Amino acid sequence: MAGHFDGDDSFVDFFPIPLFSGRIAILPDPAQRDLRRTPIGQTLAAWQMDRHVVYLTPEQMIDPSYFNAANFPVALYLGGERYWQTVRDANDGDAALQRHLDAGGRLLVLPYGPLPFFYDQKNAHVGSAGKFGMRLGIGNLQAAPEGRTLTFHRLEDLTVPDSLPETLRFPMPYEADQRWRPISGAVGEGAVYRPWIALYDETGRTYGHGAAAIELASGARVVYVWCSLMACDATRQTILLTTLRYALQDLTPPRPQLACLRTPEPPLIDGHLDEAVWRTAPATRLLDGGGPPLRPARYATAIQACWDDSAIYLAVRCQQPHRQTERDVVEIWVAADDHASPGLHLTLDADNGLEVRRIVSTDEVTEAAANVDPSIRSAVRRDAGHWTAEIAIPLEAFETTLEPRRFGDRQRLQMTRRVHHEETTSGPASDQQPDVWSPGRDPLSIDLWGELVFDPHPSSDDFTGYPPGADGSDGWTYLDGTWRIEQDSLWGQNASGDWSRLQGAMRGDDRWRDYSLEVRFRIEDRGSAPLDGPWFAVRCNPDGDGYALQLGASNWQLHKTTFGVATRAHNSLAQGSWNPSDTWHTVRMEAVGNRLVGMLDGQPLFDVVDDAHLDLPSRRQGGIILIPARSAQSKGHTIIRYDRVTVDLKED
Amino acid sequence: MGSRIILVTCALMLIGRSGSSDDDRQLADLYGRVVTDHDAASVMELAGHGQAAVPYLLRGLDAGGRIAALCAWALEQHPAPEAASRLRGLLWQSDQVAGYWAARALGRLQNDDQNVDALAALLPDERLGFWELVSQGIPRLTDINVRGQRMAVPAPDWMPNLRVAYAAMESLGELGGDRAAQTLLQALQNDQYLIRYGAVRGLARMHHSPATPILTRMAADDPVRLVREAARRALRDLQGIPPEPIPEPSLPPAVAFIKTPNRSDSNLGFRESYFFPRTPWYGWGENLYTLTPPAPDGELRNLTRLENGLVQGPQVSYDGTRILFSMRPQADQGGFHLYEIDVDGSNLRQLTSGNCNDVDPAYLPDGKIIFSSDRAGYQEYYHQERSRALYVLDPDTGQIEQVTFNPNQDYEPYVLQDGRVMYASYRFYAQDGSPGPVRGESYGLSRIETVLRVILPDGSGDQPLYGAMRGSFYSPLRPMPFSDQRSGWHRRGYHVGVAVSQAREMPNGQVICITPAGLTLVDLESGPLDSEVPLFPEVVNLAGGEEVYIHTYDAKNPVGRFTSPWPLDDEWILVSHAPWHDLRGSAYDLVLFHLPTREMRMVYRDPSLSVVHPVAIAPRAAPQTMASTLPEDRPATGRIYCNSVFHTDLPFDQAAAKYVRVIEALQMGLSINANAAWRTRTLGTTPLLPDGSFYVEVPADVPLRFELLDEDHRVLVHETEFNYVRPGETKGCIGCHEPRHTTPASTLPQALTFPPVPTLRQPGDPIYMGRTTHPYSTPVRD
Repeated sequence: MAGHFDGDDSFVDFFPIPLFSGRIAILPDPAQRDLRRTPIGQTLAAWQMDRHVVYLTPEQMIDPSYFNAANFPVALYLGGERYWQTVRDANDGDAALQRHLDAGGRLLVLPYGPLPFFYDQKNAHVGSAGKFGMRLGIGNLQAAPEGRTLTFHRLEDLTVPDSLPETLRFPMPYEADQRWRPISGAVGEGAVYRPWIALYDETGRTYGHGAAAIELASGARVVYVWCSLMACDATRQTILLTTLRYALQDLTPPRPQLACLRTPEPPLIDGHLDEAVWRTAPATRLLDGGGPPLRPARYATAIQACWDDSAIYLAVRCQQPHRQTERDVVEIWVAADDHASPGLHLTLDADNGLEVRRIVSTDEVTEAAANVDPSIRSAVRRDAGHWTAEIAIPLEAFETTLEPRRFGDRQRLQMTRRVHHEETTSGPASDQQPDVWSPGRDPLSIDLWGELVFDPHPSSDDFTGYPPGADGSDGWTYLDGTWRIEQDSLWGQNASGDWSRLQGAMRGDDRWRDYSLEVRFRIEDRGSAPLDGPWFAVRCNPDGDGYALQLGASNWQLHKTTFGVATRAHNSLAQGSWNPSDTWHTVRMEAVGNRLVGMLDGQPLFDVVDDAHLDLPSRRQGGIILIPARSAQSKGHTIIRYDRVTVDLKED
Repeated sequence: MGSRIILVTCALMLIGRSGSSDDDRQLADLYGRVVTDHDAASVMELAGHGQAAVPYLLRGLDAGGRIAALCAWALEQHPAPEAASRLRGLLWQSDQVAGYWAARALGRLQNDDQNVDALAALLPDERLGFWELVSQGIPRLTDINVRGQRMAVPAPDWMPNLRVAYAAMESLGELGGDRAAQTLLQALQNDQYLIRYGAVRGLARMHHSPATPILTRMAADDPVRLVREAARRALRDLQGIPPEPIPEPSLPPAVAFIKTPNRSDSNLGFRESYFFPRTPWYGWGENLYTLTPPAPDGELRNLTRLENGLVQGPQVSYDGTRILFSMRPQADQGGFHLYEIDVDGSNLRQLTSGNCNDVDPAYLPDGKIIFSSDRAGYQEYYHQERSRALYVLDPDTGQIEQVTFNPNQDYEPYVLQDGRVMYASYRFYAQDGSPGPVRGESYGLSRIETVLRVILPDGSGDQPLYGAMRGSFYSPLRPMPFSDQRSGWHRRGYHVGVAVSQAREMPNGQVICITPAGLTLVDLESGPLDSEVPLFPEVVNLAGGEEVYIHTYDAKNPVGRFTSPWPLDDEWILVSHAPWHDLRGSAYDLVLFHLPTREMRMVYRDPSLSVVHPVAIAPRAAPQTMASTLPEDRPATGRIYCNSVFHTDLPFDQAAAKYVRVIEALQMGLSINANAAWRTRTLGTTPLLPDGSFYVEVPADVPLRFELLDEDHRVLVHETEFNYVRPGETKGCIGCHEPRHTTPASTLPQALTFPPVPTLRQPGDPIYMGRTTHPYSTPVRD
């Protein structure tokens, strides 16, 4: 998940590669489930690279539509000696990596074990590094030779990043793995080998290269770094940054994107960012636009966006400068994704002074004179150390007959912030170079602007905003049943009514912990079994575990399914009677800790604590599943229509 | 390019900022030894440098695993507030030793809301809310049925480790304050007795007098004796009653022991490890020593002076003049045999010989010697080890008689004051791969228990003493998630092995032994459900216990290892002890251990060898002599009756029970590759009388068991372990897995109004090889 406002200035932390706006794929490791815990994973997290880093599952890695050089220009191997050579079909892992390199991708091999690609996922020896251009293991040592002092030297070559340290000593036994596994310069035809770091002893004898880059004929780049060079805190960051920068050279980064989330409720424009959508919406930061090399902005500025059918809403959070300012201005340009359509240029200062200019032409960004558009509303609120603003831009402000936005629509967006300091006794007046979102030599050149992408809300859905013909599978995972979006609602039919495996339309994952779910639903048809009907499940995983409220023909039951073991009628968590009708109902389930509270049409249904029911622990995380349940033995169909699915995630 | 700049990559140099460079180097060296050798002395010396050492200790906490555990341990003794946030971070990691010491170290810091909150968060709001074991670095719940497959699933991330939570309860008591007290009072209601125990101790430590009423109730009512005793102590503390002064131990003039470079972790008592199943293990050492007096400066004497031999199982005669032991003079030749030597090292005599191993000798009060031997020449079927049974040697005639007939392993005989012989018996239930006791229940090969049994010196009267609940599959007390911790006993489990061994009788009749709960005091008079007091209840068991009987968990144990206890009086024992951080086989020291307070005093230490199997060299009262009641003519048969098979806690259709089948286990000779199969001979079938009784004559000195059959001779109940009778012995049983809290009706069983039905070996008896799914379906030739 992208960053979000967290109430402090964490966004001003070190941000090493601001120019890069693409995504980095972390290849899955069969030996270690969570590479986030590795030192490099933690370093990436500390750099707040979350938005750029995706830890692939093995299935994602072999999916060419997902893992490819366009989606992920850079792939990072952080594993040990085992790798996923085969996920489903023989060598499909190899094929995925090869495909990536053939398309000019960058493969950075920064392993925690001495010989990457040495074993397959089942621990069988395969030695596959050569397939990806690396020749490893020639000149191996199990430890530093007795009596020798080994030192790494950065090699003199123009291509070698000068940020690498000139010399490094060989790690001590208690610091890192001693097994020396150099890379050799023997590379394939058309490839260029660029050694970066060589190991020498005090007599000048060389033991091979500890880090090297290989530029393949396809334009792809492969970097290998011996595992123990990454083991020390002091060198890890330098080498990681160096390799990332090298990998990104000559790579045209995709435009930065800001996800604009569908919101079921418009935020109140009061400058106070207390709406749930602002806790959920990704935030983006501005960078120091003073020219390359780019740096983090001196005063943090972050922006979020959301939308509904009537307007786009922006939230701005600005760290206040330490010095007295004369003017502190945020400028926002919003325009359609084609040069012919005009857009808006908003200028908002810390005193809620708002100017609106119409962009007459986006070819060269010519603007009309400033005016005040009463339909555009803004509010500013000052807190200690920050000022925050909310802006509502209604569709009609664009003065075009724009259709309501649909998921996947895009608009061009650019943002800057300029701070003008007053002259004080401690310093002269000064104009800060504007901080900018999508950097370039001319921030006003629309070709360099980023994109506002209209996304569904990650947890809530009112089933509007989908393009015609959409089935909703962008926002929902359909595990079973037939589903479609129609009449601004979700229509579902006949998901399996198997108690031990909850299946239907799923949203959310284990990152959802404490939350409430509210759904409007209408029963359009029902199978013949007593418990056929609408089931609503929370804290679910894709294996079908979770808590399910089953609304049957005449009674309701609350069940727990965990590890495929389910409660039944005799040991349900709760049950009672109800009289279904074909009108719209509203069900609400709240799960906090191991307590579950349910309401139906505003009336209390249950309030239970799962105290290791079934002698198995409570489930405390997982998504929701909507289930139009029909058991295998039933006659007829179960058809349920859903609307206004609202999941309110509680803050940790 | 400018002058070459040496980048200092070693963070050790970066963090050593204060003091002179020599000091920095010394600290760095110490820390280096912690990192490379996991050296406990170095981390403690490092921590002793005070503030200058803190950056190193913080780095160690960041390193995780063993290094973090050592640094947290050092911080427990040298508290540093700077470490608080890192210590809190360790509480939820997968290394429970580091978590345990982190919790203890937090308890040594100033009362700080964050620390109290972090410790209090380790008390879950849910029953069964703890995990215990880690595999592949992931905390797991073991033995979970996941869509029909038993597996260890990752524990939910809200779930704390049981022992870390226990340490947190102790530490909350150290920190004190309202929030801590509130948490501890809540913990008194917890399902896990270890948590209740920690909370009781914590409340006592913080002198929380409002807890008096509830502690009073727990002192009387808590189902677990350990908790009741802790509550009583807590009440005394709250009432300001000073603790009893610790009496001085009743030290003997000298002790004997053996030294070994590699004391096995196993307390199963019969095997070196799971992975080398053919290697018998007898807890041997290299030489037999005496230490006079038993003190660090005592005079050490090597009695055996072997260069390449092995000694085992020393015992001292009742008059304190001779030491009986087992020895293999050349480690790679021959077997163990019994020897006797005078305590001054003179007059070494060999008592047994042969192509076999004779071990664990003990003097009987009549001058004979009971010992364990594999001389019968058959093997336990699953691991194909040489089976051991108990034998009695008459030193005057050299005559040897086998007195127990368990087909697996009987060992460690110990003569009780009343003249009976207590011994450890390894029992492999369902050992032919047959199903569990009743239809539809299958244990496969999953139940192993080493229990304490007792016999008369002639082998008759064999019966359980402590351990398995008269054949029903309960395992003794052990802190464990997902078990019934209210009763103190576990429900039936899967893949279960329980080891109770190294038992010695205290002067007051209690037994000190090693159980799945570690070093344990057992009060046999209190009944099997309420008899145990583990000395360190937070121990991750040494060997034995559900899920772990084949594995070594010492590296995950925050408590040191204990082995081979020897009682000195009712409060003090001699015992071999290795600290938690030293996992070497040579790490056991000989200590005096005060049972009520856990105080330890060093007796003798050898830096390179373990000192084990201590035994006091002093005169002691000889036990009562029990004359044999077996007939002189030693008939070839004995008799067994059962009051009523309906006196049972097993769920079966009692109306359908019509017959009892008697089955003999056929020993597997050592020359045969048994290939995990066990053969049985059907000796006969007897009708079940209407009151559920039966009475049969069976061959003596063979392992037997029974099956309850319906009228079509299909199995209703399947006894999964073996019994035997000695020649001419008549043995009775009350029921069939009878309930533990009831007594049978006092009526004469109908079967005893008739002569016993002979179920004896006959030519043509069917002989079967058991199979897991179809018992007795595969006949083989005899």
